[in-house]
Amino acid sequence: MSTLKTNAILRPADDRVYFRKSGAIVQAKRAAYYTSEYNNTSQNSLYDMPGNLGDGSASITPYFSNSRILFTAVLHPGCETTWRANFFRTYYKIGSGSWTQFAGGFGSTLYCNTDGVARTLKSTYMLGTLNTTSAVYFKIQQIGHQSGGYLHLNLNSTSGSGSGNQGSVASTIFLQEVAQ
Amino acid sequence: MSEVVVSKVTNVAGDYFIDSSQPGSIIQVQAYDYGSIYNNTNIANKECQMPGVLGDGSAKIEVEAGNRILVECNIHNGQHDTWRGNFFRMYWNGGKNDAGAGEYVTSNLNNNDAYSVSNPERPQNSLLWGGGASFSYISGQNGGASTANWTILTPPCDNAGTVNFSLTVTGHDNGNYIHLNNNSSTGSTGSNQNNFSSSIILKEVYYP
Repeated sequence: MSTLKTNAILRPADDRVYFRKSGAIVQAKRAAYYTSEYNNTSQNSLYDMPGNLGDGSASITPYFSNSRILFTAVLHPGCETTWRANFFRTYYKIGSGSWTQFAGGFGSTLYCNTDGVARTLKSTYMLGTLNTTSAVYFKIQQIGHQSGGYLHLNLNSTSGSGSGNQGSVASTIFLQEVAQ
Repeated sequence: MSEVVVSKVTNVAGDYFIDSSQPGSIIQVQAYDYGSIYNNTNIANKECQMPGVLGDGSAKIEVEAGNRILVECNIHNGQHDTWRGNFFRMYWNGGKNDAGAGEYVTSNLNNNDAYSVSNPERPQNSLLWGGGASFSYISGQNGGASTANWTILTPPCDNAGTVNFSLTVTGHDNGNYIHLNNNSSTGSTGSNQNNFSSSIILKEVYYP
């Protein structure tokens, strides 16, 4: 089998770019958490998110050491009367190294005089070059507001139930490698 | 120099495209972040430039003519007692925009003559159908935050070269302040406790 190496592929005649290594998304990974999670001790206390959102198993292994990673979180916080304010911190680590917090944090505020409402929360952040081709792991931590900070992840109900995932939502982490 | 001219690039089996010659392929990504806390208490029903790279037009991407840009805005809005409702507009200089063109001219905002956004920064036909909104309500508490994230696909770019983007914010007439990137589990009104950074992410999308 022959191999052709190039950093760009141009269209005939006008040289419009078909493909260019710099800036291209060269791979994508996903970690999802399907279970509903209720935490009533997270008011002003920091916790790892449940499952692979917070256990460090979400990972991507860059093909190129100078790539950047585009981090996207999609979470589904629910609410019970009267309000919930949740904040999320984002971390990465390279291989067996230490966790490093990056500026991908995000937040959710919900207020409703009944139970069961929810919102879908998406947040994206592009990390700088990590100078590695080793596996890069990601996790999210959550901390609640001191007066209304319970977590109701993946909990939603049209009838006001505090324990259902009627909408079949899954909270996820998406990781994309962006070549440079 | 040798030259290889192709119409498509596939894997060995020929059943998977590995080039970006298909319409809709993303061929580059750029990101611009603003990580400071920004408060503005004078935006009630008044359109104002967002701070730093979010609003000064320096968020940019180099594109080929005809391609489109997938624009993702990720804005973290802090909350102070009782509520905050903010609306965002997106401007560009990549081409004519047949939707919403010049809307600010006929805007029903009642402070048209007091905008801090000058006319050169929002010329005719530069307003995209690319706005977003955020709302947070907690009675008697501070420090909440809501992340607003929305994505738009621009019309085709008129010309090859740099395309710039800028965001403005307009506050609700009664709950109007903006507290960008402010968040605190203890109710602080001046803390970015959890390392929020608001951003504009630009992706060039191939359109032949």
